[in-house]
Amino acid sequence: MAEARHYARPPIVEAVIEVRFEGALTSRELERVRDRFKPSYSTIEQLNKLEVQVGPGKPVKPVVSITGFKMTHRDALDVVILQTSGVATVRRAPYESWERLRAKASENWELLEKVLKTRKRVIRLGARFVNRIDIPDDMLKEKGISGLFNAKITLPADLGGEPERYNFAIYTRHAKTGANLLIQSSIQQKPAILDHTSITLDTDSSWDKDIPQRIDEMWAKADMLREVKNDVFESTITDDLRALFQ
Amino acid sequence: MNMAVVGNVLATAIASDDLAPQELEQSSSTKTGDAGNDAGPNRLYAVEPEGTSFSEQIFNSLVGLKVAVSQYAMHLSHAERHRIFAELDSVINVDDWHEGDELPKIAAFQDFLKWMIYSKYNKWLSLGVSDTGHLLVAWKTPRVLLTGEFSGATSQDAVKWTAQIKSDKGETGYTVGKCPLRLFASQALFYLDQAARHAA
Repeated sequence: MAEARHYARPPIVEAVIEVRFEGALTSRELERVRDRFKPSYSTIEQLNKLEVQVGPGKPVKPVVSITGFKMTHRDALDVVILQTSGVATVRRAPYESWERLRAKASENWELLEKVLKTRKRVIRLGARFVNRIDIPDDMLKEKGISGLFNAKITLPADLGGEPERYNFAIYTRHAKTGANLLIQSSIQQKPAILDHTSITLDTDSSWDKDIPQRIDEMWAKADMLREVKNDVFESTITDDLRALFQ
Repeated sequence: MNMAVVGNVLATAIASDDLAPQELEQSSSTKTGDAGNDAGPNRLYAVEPEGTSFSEQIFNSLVGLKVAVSQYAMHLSHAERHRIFAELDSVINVDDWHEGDELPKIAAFQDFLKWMIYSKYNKWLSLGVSDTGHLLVAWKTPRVLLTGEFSGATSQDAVKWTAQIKSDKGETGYTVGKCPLRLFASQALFYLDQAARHAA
């Protein structure tokens, strides 16, 4: 188990706690929830699903349906994504703390249930942390990706050297907690800042069974995902990268 | 009947051109606002800003610029982020903008942020927007007034700049130029640091 640390300049560009529930909200219910959130999250984008029906001898028929709303706070840092089957609480950089994000998620969940005037059966809890690590090109040249990350893709030595570009996605379960885990990483085509290489490290941990329906127990279960994301991050990076976040 | 799902992607501040991994199973992954893999090749959802009134366009533009700042939060101090936010609130508002005005280009603003982080010079005086949506920045020292127009273009025309220099005897000289982003750091610091050294 890797030790959790506090960083002055964490590379988290987006942190999300998502709660999904059984069944689906109607358009009317979605709109009611949206209206209740609007005073705090006033920039609203409608999420649509576009289906195109194609059949022999028939004209192409597009069908657009609303799947939710992405609502952004005036500070542009806090976001709520309402969907027919869930609500995601998003914090952009600068990330402050799990406690704050979890408190917001809890607040948003309570508000949703209050508007709907019903208890929803929760079927999935997820926490996703997207890190963008901007590595000075000099450091990358000296250490190489394999010297900076403990989770990486390697090729047989006679096939190729250090990768210039890569992306990978690994599905697994967290060894200690058993949480579902999806770890993705890639080199961004365009680095975020000059003379650096930007590498994303995206950790998506979740529970999709045995989720307690008592609210305090449910959030206690969600809190376990904090340990999972810390474990993935600290196990994946090296001290050279840690020095960039101090 | 065959069904195909197509569409656009969630708006994204940083990931639109990135080599993002694909969502292998969309339903098994936690939804993100913009930094995750929603910008990947498997596009499922389209986003439409609600309402298209002029005031909403202005507000959405302001939010877009603040999102861009957030993507560089780890490279900017708390004070610097607040200073930029305050300037954006002052510049991008309904009172000073009119229907048909070109709203600021996010890429141009991102280039300014990249430049500031790269040059480590954050003593800008003011921010503005050109009638083509480029970002205008002014820096001032006792001897030099430097202006830069960041276009967001990845070319020789990334930054157009002017420098007004005063000598000890009150003479004034003017210089103009255009250059790529990285080169503008050395160009700008040549004038701004020179002025600072002279003042010292």
